[in-house]
Amino acid sequence: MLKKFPLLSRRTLLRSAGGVALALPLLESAAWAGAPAAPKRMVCIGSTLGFVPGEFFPEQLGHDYALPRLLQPLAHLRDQFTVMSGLDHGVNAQGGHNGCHALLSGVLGSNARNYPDSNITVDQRAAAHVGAATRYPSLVLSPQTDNLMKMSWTGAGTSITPIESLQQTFDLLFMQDNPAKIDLARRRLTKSQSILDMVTDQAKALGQQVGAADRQRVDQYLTSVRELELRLSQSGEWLDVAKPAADYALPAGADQASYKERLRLWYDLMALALQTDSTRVITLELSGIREASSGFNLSRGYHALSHHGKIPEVLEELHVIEAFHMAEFARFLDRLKSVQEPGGETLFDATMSLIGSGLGNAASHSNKNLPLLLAGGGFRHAGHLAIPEKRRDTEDALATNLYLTMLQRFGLEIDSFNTSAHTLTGLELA
Amino acid sequence: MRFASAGILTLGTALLASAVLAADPQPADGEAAIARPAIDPDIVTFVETYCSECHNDFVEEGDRSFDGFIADPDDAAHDYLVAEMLDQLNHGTMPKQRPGENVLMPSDDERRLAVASLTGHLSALAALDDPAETLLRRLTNVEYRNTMRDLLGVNPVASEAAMSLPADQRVHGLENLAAEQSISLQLMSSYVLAAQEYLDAAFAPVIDPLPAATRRKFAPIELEEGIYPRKEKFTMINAATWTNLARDHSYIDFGTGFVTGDRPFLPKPLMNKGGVPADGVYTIRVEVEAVHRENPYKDVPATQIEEALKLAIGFAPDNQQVKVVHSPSRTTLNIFDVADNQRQTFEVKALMRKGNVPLIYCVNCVRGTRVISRVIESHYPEMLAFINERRTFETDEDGKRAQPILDFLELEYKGPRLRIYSMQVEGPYPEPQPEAFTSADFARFATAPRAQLGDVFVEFASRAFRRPVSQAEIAPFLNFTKAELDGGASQIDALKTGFAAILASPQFLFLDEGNSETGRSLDNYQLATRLSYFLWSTLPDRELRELAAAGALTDPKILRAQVARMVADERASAFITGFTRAWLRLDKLGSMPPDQRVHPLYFAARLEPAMRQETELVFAEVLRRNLDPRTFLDSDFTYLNDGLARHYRMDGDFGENFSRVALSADSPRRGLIGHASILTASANGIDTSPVIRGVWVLDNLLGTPPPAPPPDVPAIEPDARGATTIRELLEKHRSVQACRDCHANLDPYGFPLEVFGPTGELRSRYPKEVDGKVRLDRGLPVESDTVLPSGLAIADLATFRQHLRGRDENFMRHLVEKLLSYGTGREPTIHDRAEIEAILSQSSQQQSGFADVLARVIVSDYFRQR
Repeated sequence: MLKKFPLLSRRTLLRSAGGVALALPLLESAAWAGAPAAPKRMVCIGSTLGFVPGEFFPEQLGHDYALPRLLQPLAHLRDQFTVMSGLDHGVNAQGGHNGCHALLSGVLGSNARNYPDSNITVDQRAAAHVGAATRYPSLVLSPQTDNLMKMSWTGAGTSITPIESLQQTFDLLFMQDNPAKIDLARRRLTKSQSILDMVTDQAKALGQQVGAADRQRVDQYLTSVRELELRLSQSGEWLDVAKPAADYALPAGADQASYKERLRLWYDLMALALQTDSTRVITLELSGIREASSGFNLSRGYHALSHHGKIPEVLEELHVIEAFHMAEFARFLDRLKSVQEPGGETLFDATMSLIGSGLGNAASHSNKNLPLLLAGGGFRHAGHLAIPEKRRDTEDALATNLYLTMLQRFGLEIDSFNTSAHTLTGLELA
Repeated sequence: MRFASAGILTLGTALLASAVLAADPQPADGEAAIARPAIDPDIVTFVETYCSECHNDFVEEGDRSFDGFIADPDDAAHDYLVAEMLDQLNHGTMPKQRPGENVLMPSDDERRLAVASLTGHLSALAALDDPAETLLRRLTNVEYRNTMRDLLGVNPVASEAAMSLPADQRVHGLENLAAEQSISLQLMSSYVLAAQEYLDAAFAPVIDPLPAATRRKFAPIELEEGIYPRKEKFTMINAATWTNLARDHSYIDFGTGFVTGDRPFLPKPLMNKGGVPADGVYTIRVEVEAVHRENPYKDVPATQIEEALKLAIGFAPDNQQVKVVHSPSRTTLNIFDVADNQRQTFEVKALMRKGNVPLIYCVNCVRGTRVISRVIESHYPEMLAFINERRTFETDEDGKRAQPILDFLELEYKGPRLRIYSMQVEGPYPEPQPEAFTSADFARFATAPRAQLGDVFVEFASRAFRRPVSQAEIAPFLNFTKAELDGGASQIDALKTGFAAILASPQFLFLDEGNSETGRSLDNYQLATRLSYFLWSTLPDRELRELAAAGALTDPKILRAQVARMVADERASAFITGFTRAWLRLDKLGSMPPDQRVHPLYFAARLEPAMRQETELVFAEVLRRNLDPRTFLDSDFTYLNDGLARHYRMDGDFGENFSRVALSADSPRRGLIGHASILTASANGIDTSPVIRGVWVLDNLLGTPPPAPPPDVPAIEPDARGATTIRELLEKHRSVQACRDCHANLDPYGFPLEVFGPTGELRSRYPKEVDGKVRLDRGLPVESDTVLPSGLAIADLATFRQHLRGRDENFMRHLVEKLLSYGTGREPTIHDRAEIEAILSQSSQQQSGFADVLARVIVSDYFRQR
């Protein structure tokens, strides 16, 4: 029943450190209970400098398009993903590099206060829905974060600092904490709960002294306190649950490896995190290609390459990076496909995998017509789904429509997400 | 309030937004709404005469039509048009004369009358609502960490949670705008954790007293790389360039070094012991000289070191982070110019945490091994044969066989090297935070009798909340602590939790600036706090606290004296750094570094921090010597170090430390617009854009920000081939009518700066792509002349600078507004205009220096009221 999965053995995965088979309570119980559908997962991958439009977007519509050069690594999956053109955030997320952080929200940080959920991103909306069902509501990862990138934002308008270390991520997922550390964590937790009790009273007292405008701010403080109380009690529940064991080891010095090598390892960990149901929401920034340690043999830096001026040799070098990004994405999808979920479908089918960029064209710093590609997730994929020219710049062309579709698929009963007008027309459930 | 399309907000200025908000009629329950002021009929005539020909329901240029306004000028729906009109008239951008058209222009008098009338109208509208007040303002991340340092006496890095707080949102360059701040689960979680981590550090010396300070001297043979320990394995060529231990072990030579601090050297015994023994202050001393900087290999490229050899002293966070070639987690504490052929001792005092490992490296020694290979090839062919025979020696036995090479390196090879005679580490000493609670204080708290715990909490909370706190207010913390003690907890543990709750309370995290019921004026403690966070980014020191307690700070004379004291104080560096980031957007410096191969000096000479420092030093001098603020527009001095001087191609005797340099009348570096920091921050590392730099000048120097670009403007794609200049591209763009209106106001402010490349380097030609490489100064010539919207012709950078000097009114207004915003966390609204005008007119009448302007800002009602 299990397909080949080179780095993992299912059996070792299910064996917890103590040898007791409780590492995957949710997956296992699902299997025993006559298999309801596997939980939905969401993966969002964003590239700082995007993809050269002519090499990403197909020319023809629908299923029978000629594969553009950048989609060739995905050729064998072509009926299992949708490549979208014409979607963007309209006038709401312009700003060149400074518009990139709105990729997953459609709302600039500087405009966040005009929206009820600020500039919450699609991944964090999904993470809030997962709650305590997994050890980590979400993982936000980056080989090396870029200040302009900031892919993931909460409903309170703050960005989530990505984890940049492979080792740290591996430890979060699979390292069994020793009893002393668990004990310390528990004591910190108890103390934190006492602290929150006390500050709640402080905030209430303050709220009575201030005017209406300030009271809103005190209320926001109290909301954060309540959310944190919930989060603490949820993480408390996970303290005693052993982490799953992975038959996987990071190579020594993984965090010092080149960008090329590290990206592959990041994808390994992401697949493992999903497979072990340690989290159901993962966001990955494709950023941090530094000249000295990229692993690519380039005549100039990535950013300089993106200013290619249509010079063929420069475009060719840029293509090396962009093609690498697509090839590694394809490899990740293949890996998801090789994992059978208890309910019978593959992890690929259970996972919406989105890759894209906040820049439609890095050479001109355009935030229009964003490259977006969604794979798996149980959709009836539409090949090349293009917003017709005359519908662009209308509410039909909002990328947040796609995110609303994804969130509904994820199980949220909502009918709008930030700027969205409706779900994305043309992308239906399988 | 939710806008149907948030895009609306970007169409106008802050003034517009405030006018719209102010006009939002919100009569309180039971009260009759105050009548809206009526618009002056002359304004309607003015609009009909000069505006509506282009802006009507049929033509609607710039998406603006005045037809509705003319029909019903007092409809609140048109308030935003009124605010926009005022902006356009103030900026002199409308009506616009176009070539070939005969647009009717108002006379200067008509324009002035209209401005006066519109200003009055908008003021009256704004006054309908409550005057703008400061909102509850949260400590910024910088302020939070400083406050913990100056309250608890801890090293800010002692809390991982505090060091990785979610970034503050910057709006208009400011991180402290209350209206833009938020508190989230993530932030709250960091605060709760950070409070506990910092208190652990603060109480640590009570539990484990600081070990006695020791002075440990390390011999040359004890200095090794963490990653490639001596003898384990070395490649001959590597060893030659890298390091050479004298045969009698009296010194060790560093032949290679990287500006990035890769492969540093450290005292091996200290590394093996797991780094320094405790948190505290340590002194690191290094005895060193530079040898062979003048060498016989000048014919071999890259063995010449133009500047002094430089020694860096720093530390790694732990002994794992020294076992990797490169680690961004390592800290460089200081860099020294090492004298040639003269032994010197350099010393650095630094706060280190337990486990940190001190290290040293050469910043600018020869990089890599190829250079020395070339030297050997061309100067020592007989050695070459020996080396080629066997390149690597991996065992001690091999080491003996390698002796001829080691001898050669010591006796014959004359490449530039740093020669280290010893390294010394002394400490730990207590952390010198004179204003903070000391470990003696924490020991006193830990042993206080139960009956006095209330006083302990009052003492701690009063300092933390920056105002006197009553017994009643601390009762919840005290009761919790007592309950913990009853439950068997240790007093330290119980206190830590109680204190942590204080440090996670809103009363600590938000600044107390009164509320609508306590009246407009800040009380003494509130004023001390606002002042202290303005100039020092931390809580008030003892002197401010004492003045506040005596009720003296609200006296303007005393307040002015305090401003003078605080500006002169070292701690004002927080203001210098924080304000230049906010005002000049130096926060953007470094977000788009240039390409390493095209601009190698940017990295080799560590230009990024150097650029920042130039601007900060000039700013500091204008501030501390109370110079005319227009010095920012045109100055006859700047500060440079060796790297920046090279970048600027200026001759002189420069070293690692900055020195003051007089600028000639024709120097391109006069004024902020000649600073590489600003020129780099307003470019993207690859190319320059007159649009972006033009917006920078309008926005940050003149305070006349252009409207945001209309949606769906096709972006301009620069021509990397170098066949078309940016001017030609922009002209093409401007041939579109819709684009011309805006760009005619923007681009002219950027064109004169085109003489500077993306890292602020002077250039006369654009780069060009040659044989697959970007070549600077090979492309089309740079043209920097332009015509300003007023019709004034600008020939070059010097005339542009002269023009900016003439715009000192705009400049001063913006500077004052920025100081007020930075100091209070609230941006000016139309309601504040009178106050700002008063500051400006007093300043200009008395020809005030910058420090005087700052003092005037601080004694203003704007600053002293909530």
